[in-house]
Amino acid sequence: LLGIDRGVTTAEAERVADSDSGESAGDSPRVVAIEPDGPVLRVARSFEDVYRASYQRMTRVAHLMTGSNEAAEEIVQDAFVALYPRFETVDDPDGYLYRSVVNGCRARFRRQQLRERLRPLRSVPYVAPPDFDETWGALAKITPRRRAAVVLRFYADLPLAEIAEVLGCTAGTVKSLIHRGLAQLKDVIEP
Amino acid sequence: MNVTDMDTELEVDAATAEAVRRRLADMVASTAVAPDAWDKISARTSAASSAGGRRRGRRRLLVAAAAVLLLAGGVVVDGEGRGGDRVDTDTTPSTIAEDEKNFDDRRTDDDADEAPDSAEDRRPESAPEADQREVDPGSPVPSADDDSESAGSAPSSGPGAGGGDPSPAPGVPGPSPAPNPTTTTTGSTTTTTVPLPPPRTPGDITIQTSSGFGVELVINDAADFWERGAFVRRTDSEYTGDPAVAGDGYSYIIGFSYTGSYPPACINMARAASPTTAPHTFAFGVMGSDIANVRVLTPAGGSLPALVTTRSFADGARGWMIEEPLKGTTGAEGLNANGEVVARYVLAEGRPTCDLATPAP
Repeated sequence: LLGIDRGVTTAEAERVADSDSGESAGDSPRVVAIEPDGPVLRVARSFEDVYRASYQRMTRVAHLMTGSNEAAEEIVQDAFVALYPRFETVDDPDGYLYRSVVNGCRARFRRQQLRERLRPLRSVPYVAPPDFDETWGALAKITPRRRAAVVLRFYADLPLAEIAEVLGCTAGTVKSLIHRGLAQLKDVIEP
Repeated sequence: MNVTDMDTELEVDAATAEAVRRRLADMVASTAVAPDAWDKISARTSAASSAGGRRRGRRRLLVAAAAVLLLAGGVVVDGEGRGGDRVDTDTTPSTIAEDEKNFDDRRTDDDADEAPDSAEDRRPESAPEADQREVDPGSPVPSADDDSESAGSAPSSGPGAGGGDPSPAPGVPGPSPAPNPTTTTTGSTTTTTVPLPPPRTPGDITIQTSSGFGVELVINDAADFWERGAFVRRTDSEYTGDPAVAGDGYSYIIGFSYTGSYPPACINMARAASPTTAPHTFAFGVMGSDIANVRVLTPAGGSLPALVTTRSFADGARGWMIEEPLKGTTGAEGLNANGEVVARYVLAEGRPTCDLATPAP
């Protein structure tokens, strides 16, 4: 089972290509993306490798966005299951997982809102609130989209461009989201 | 990643940023990961694979039924939909009635196999929430003020759309690449079906090496953005049943995706080498529509003409390939129809220089 990892530099691609011409080289297929700046080698990585490298990080990101460890795991597992059938063609598994996790968290938020609206109308099983945490108390007050931007930037350390890709917006929008999110958090999280 | 630079780019107060970082890290310091998380994922992906197998099984069943009813000669076709199966049959025909009876018997058995799925089995067939709401990088860009929870933030099928059959996760049984021959006895007729792999995509450039094997470059100008590309493989590569990037199920040495819109007077270059092609190394790449020929440069200052594909991608870009000389290459040059060098790729620089014939504005 092979997937494609993030692009590496052309120099690294050349180094791998050179090393592969020797007898010690592995037999894993490699993928070269023809991009405007030059070919980029992408080294094969297994689904299990991605799981090992990313599962905990994704769970923590989801935890920060939902406030619940349990919900976070459920969302991340959904994301991995969604990734699996596409794994060989997904160019950036981490990016795919981030998008799935963020969207999963936002979908959960929407479902919660729907439950809140329906509760007075019909009997709906009570949904326990997320584990209480002071930081979560602050995060919960900002919109999920702003929360995602703040978490991806200050926890996951993603650059603006990647956050923009995950959220499906421009880098300028991400800046705006982060600034507004921080403005709301600032009252609670004192430097 | 230089966090300080990024914070500067964001124009965020450093103390605030640091405080947020610390609080976020503290909050998830106690985040627990279930020890059976991998098992749960494996179980669900396994269920997805089984569901795919059942769908394929239904297709086979329908085609087999049609074959039995139409041919009535004891011939059963294994309908993979690829048209490459060989059918062997004996010369003793059975009656249609016998075939129908036996088909009904088989159908009953198959139905029994397919029957009641557990809820867990069915789950992967309906895309999970996360999948349904995947962000499409190519979707219209929201305005800077758009931070609402509207549907505009979302999603399409994503980068993985159009992929082939999933490969098995570790420890998860996957689709069999080459089904075993099956023998069916219906009355006095014995039918042996030998499924063959799908036909190989013909190579656009084929190079025969001095070691006795050939290597080919195959262009896949798929309409699907994510499948478009090309790959290099041995001409005698084996069917693996594992369609990889831009592949057709036959193992390849290296593949590349081609997203299109390559500059007309530009070339790209990469190298393909693997233990399966040792000691031969191949240089290959994509050339823009204005390039007529490509030649690779040798360390001694000479050059060798590369082979160029006849077929092209939708934007006119074509592929090129050459077996590298033993001493390797330093790069390649792209020539236009007049024989002028209009593009260059120097391996040491790792990027092309294009539009050499066009004076800088």
